[in-house]
Amino acid sequence: MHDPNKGPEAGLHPRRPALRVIAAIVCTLLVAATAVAAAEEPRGGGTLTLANRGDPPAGFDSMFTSSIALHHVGGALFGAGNLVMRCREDFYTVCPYLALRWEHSPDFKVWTFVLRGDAFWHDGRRFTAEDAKFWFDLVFFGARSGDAVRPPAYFARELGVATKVEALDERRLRITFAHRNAHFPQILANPRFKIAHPRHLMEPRIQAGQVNVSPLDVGLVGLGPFKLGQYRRGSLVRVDRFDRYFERDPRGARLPYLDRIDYVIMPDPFAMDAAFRSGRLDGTARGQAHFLSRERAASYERDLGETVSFARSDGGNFRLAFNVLKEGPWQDPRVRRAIALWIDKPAAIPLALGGHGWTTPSIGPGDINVPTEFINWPRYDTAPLAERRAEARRLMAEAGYADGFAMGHLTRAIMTEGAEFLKAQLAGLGVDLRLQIVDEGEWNRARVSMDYDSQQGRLAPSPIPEGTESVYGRYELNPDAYAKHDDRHLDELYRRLRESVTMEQRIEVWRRVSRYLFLEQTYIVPVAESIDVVAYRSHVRGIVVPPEDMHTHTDFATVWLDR
Amino acid sequence: MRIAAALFLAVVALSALTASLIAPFDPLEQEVGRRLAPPSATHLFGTDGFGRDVFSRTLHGARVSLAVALAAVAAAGVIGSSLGLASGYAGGAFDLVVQRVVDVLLGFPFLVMALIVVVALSPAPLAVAAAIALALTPLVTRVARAAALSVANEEYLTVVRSTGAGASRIVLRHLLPASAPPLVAYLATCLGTAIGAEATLSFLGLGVPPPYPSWGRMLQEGSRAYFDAAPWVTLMPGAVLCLTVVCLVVVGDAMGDPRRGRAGPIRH
Repeated sequence: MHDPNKGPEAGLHPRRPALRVIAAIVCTLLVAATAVAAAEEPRGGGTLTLANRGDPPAGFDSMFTSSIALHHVGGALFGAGNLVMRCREDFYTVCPYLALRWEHSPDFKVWTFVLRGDAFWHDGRRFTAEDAKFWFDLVFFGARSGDAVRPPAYFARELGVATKVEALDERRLRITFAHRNAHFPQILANPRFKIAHPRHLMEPRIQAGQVNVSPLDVGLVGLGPFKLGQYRRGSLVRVDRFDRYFERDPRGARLPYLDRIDYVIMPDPFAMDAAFRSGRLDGTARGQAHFLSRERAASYERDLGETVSFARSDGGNFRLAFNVLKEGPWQDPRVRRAIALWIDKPAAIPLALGGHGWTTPSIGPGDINVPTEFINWPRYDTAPLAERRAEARRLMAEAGYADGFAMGHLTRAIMTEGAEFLKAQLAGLGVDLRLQIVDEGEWNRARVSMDYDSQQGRLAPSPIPEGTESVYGRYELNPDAYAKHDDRHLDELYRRLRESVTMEQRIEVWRRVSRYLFLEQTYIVPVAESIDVVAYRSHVRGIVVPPEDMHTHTDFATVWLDR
Repeated sequence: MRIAAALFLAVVALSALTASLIAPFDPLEQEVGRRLAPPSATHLFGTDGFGRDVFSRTLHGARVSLAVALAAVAAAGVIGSSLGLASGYAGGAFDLVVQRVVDVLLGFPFLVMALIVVVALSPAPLAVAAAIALALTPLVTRVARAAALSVANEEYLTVVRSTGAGASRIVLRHLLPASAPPLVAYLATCLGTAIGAEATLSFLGLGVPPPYPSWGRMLQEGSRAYFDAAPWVTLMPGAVLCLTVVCLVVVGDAMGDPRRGRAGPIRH
C-alpha cells in the first residue's frame, strides 16, 4: 500500500525521523554559527566619532586631574593601563600591561616589575625601565629645578609611601616602600594613573626649569594604541592608529582595529544629543550631565530603535562632603551626623541622578574584594526616615543649632540637580544651603582649596578600599580629598589597610575606616551611587564596558565598526 | 486687542505681586512621587523633574522676570532719558561726545553686551538687571535725543528762554513733558525686550541661580532634560513668556500711536 505522505526517498531512513530532525537542526545551527562568527570577526579600519565633554584640562596631565574629559581621550593616547591594567575580561582582576610580570619581597615592601620589550612611544623611542622610573619619581616626589617646584601627583599617597625607585636594567624596575604595600598592583591598575610623560621629551625641560611641563607641551607623545593626529582646542581631538602598538587580539592580529578616532568637543550635552540622533556621532560622551538620564535614554530608544545600544556602568558616588578645616557649625560631628540622618537618600535617585542608581555608602558592588556587607545601604541608618529625622533634630538642638544655620555649597554648573536636591532636603532641617555654582575651571581650582564650606559632586573612588585614600584621606596629604580634614587617625587606618594581607584583615580594617568616615565623624555623607549610561550606534562593536568606573577601558583598542 | 493685551499684563503683574498668596504650592518644594506629572486639576501646568508645581513656579518666576525687567528699564529710562534730553538740548561738544559714546556702545550687539556684563559681575538678579540696563541705555538715549531735537526749536521754547528760564528748568518743565509720549511708548517696548533678555540670560545659565524660578531658567530646565518626556515643563512658562512680550509690544505700540490723543505733541 502506498503511503502518500512518503516521498521517493522516504525509505532511506524509515525508522529514524527524530535523527533527521536533529541532524537538520545541528546543520542549521552550524551554518548560523559560522555566519555569526564571520559577522562577529572584527574588521579593521574606519573612523569612530565620539563626543567628548570638554577640552582635556591641565595640559592632558594625568598627574594633576582625574577629569573624564581627559581620560575619555587619554586611554587611546596613553594606553589602557600603567605597568598593569584592569583586565578587559574581568574588571576586578589585574592584568599585565607595560609590565609582563612582577614580584614582591616577603614583607611586601619591595616590588619588582619586568617590563615588556616591545612598547614604543609614539615618536618611535622604546619604552624602558628608565622611562618608568622617571614617571614614578614624578608621581612620588615631584620635581625641583632651582626655586621651581613640581608637586607630587594628586594620587601619590594612594600608591603608598615610596622611598626609592630604581631602574635595575633596561627592563626591570624596583620600587621600595616605607611600609608594607600588599595590594600595590591592584591600586596601580587604576586607569587614572596613565603614563603620559615621556622622559626623553620632558626631563630636559624640567632640568631647564620648566618643572610643570605638561604632556600637551611635548606634543602628547604616548604609549597608547592611537597617536595624536590633530588637536584643535574647543573643537576636536583626532587620534590615528599607532602601527607599533604592542597589544594583539586573541587571534594574534595587531590592535587597534580602527584607523582613527575623532573626539568632538561638545560641552553641551543637549547639542550632543542632537548630533547623536542625526547620525553625526557614533557614541556619546562620558561624564556627568553627558551620561544619559532615564528620560533621555528612553527617547533615544524610542526614536532610534535597534540602531542604538547602551553601555551601563556603576558611576560615581553622589555625596555631600564637608570642609572641616573651615570654621563653621559643620565642624561639630553632631551637626554633620544630623545632616546625614536627615537626607532622604533613595529620593536622590530620581531627583538628582537621572533615574539611574542605588543607595550605597561608597565602594562599588561588583568588587569581589569587597563583600556585600561593606556596601548595603542603609547599613548604618536602618531606622525609618521619620525616626532618623527626629534624631537629626535632637542632634542639631544638642549642638546648639536648633534654628539651623547657613552653609556654603560648592557645586559644578553642569550638575546643579544634586545641589538643588540637597538644598531642598536640608531646608527642612533649617540648613540654608547657599549654592556656589561654578564652571569646570573654577571647580577644579576650588575643590582642592579651602574656599568652600561643603561640596558636592560625583566622583568614582577606587573599587578597592586601599585605593580610596586620595578621596577620603587627610587634606595635607591628599589635596583632592572630598572632605577637608586633618584627622591623623585616618593615616593610621589606611596604613593598616595597606599592610593587611588576608581578606579578613582587609574587611576588618575597611569596616573601621568606613564606619569612622561615614558614621563616627561623618566627614562625608554618601547619598547614592549613580549608574552611568552611554549610547553607541549599534555598528560600534567590541566596546569593553566596565561594570563600574567609566574612566576604565577608554583605549578603544578592541573597537571595530560593523558597517 | 489693546485692551485684551493690557488686561493680560495686568493679570500677570497682579499674579507676580501676589504669587506668595495665590500659588497653590511652594515653588521650591520637591516631591519625588509627583515627578513629571502632566497638567491636571491639581497641577494646572503639570510638574517638573523635581516634582515641583510648574504653575507655582511660573507665578514666582513672573516676579523675578518682571522685577529684573522693570528695574533694568527704569534704570535705562532714567539714565538714557537724562543723557538724551541733555544731549539734544545742549548740542555742541557735549552732544558730540555723548553720541560718540552711544555709537560705541551700540556697536556691541544687545545680548553680547548683556552677556559680558553678567559674566563680569557674576550671575545674580541685580547683575542681570544692570547688564540689561546697560545694554538698553544707549538705545533710550538715542530715542530721547531724537524726541528732544524735535521740540528743541519750537517757538515757545524761545519765549521761555527769553523769560530767563535756566537750562535745567527748560529741560525738566518743558522738554521732558513734550518728549514723554514717544519715550514712554519706547520704554514699554523695552520692557518686552528686557523680559526676553532676562529669559535668554537665564536660559544660558547666567541669570537667576537655581533653584529659584525665573521664566528663562524654567525654559532651560524643561527644554534640555525633559522636552520629549514632559513638554509642559517648557511649554507652559514659554507660552506665558511669549504672551507677555507680545502684549507689551501691543500696549507699547498703542501708547506711541499718534491717533491716541495723549500720545500727540503737547500743545501750549
